Amino acid sequence: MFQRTVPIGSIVVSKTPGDVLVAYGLGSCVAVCLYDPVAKVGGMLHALLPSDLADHSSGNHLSPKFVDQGIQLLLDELERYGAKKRRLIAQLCGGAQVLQANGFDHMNIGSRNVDVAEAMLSQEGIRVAAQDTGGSSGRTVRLFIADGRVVVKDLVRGERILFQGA
Amino acid sequence: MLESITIWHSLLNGPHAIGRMNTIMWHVARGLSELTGHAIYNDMPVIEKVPIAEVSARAGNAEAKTVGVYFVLGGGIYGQAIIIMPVRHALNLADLMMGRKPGSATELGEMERSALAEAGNLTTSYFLNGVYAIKRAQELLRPSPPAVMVDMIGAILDVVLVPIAAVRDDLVIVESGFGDVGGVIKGRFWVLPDPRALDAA
Repeated sequence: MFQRTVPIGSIVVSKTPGDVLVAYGLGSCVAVCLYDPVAKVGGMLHALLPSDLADHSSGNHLSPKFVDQGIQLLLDELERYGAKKRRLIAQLCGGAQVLQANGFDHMNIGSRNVDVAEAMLSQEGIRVAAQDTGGSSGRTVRLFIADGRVVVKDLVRGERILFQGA
Repeated sequence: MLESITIWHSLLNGPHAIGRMNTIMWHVARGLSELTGHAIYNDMPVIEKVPIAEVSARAGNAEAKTVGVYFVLGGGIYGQAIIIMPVRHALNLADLMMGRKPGSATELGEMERSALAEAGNLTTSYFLNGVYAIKRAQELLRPSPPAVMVDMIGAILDVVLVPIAAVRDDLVIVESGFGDVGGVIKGRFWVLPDPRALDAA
């Protein structure tokens, strides 16, 4: 198996059965895993912020550091690899509030990231089969391209299967 | 706001930038030494522009359980600061702060968190005093109250990256390692300048 890191603000797509896509140490970041069980193509987005407030009317590029733009980019890339949107299954992870000190409450980006991801996926008609979001602990998430299995790990509960896969 | 950008710009640029930062970090280490009664040294600081996607990798194993003591810098200078320590070393620092033998604490309870917050307060205050001594800011430089986090280092760094990622794809990290000869204390002090100072560079 080959572990391919999905850094912050990135998407990675694969149809190599031996690949495992990994987003390490998600805090308020959200990981969106999408998998087509027929084409056996999967991808992961590791996004940091819910949406970009800047004006892109001048034609600036979309960025995967934003959840809304990242999901669009991930969908485009998955289709380029042969996935069909109607077959995609989604899993969501992350969106924790790691920083819980007084005076920093306004920085609860995590729940906003999850809200935007859920709204975007719903808008695209993609089913969220499983999610492990919120709380106050960081997570690592792995997507196995061979079967779409998703495994989540945190420092409190250890490692567990979030989605069994095809 | 303009003053913050000007101060950072003049601190981080020019042939003496590393030397200036080293002087400040030396004062930080000396302050920690006085607080703990234990000789703590700083490494020569590094000032580096890092893409946001590479920050976690730079910090080490993103899954490693880590203690982060976080501050927002305010007043005449805007930025962020964080002390990053492996849990064992953080516990040792808390022990020293409380006058105990390093290795006494086995978990991070309220007392230990409070001791680390105080160590962070002092570290950041010494840093800002050093900045003030060099730059004579018009406004008082002050850190926010400390926030102590214990989690995977990647998760802790999300907190630092969020305010910067909204406006940039990279950031400047001023990093100085600190520790003692015996390996009881080991950690890193990161200062993340106002991202707008980069645009002015």
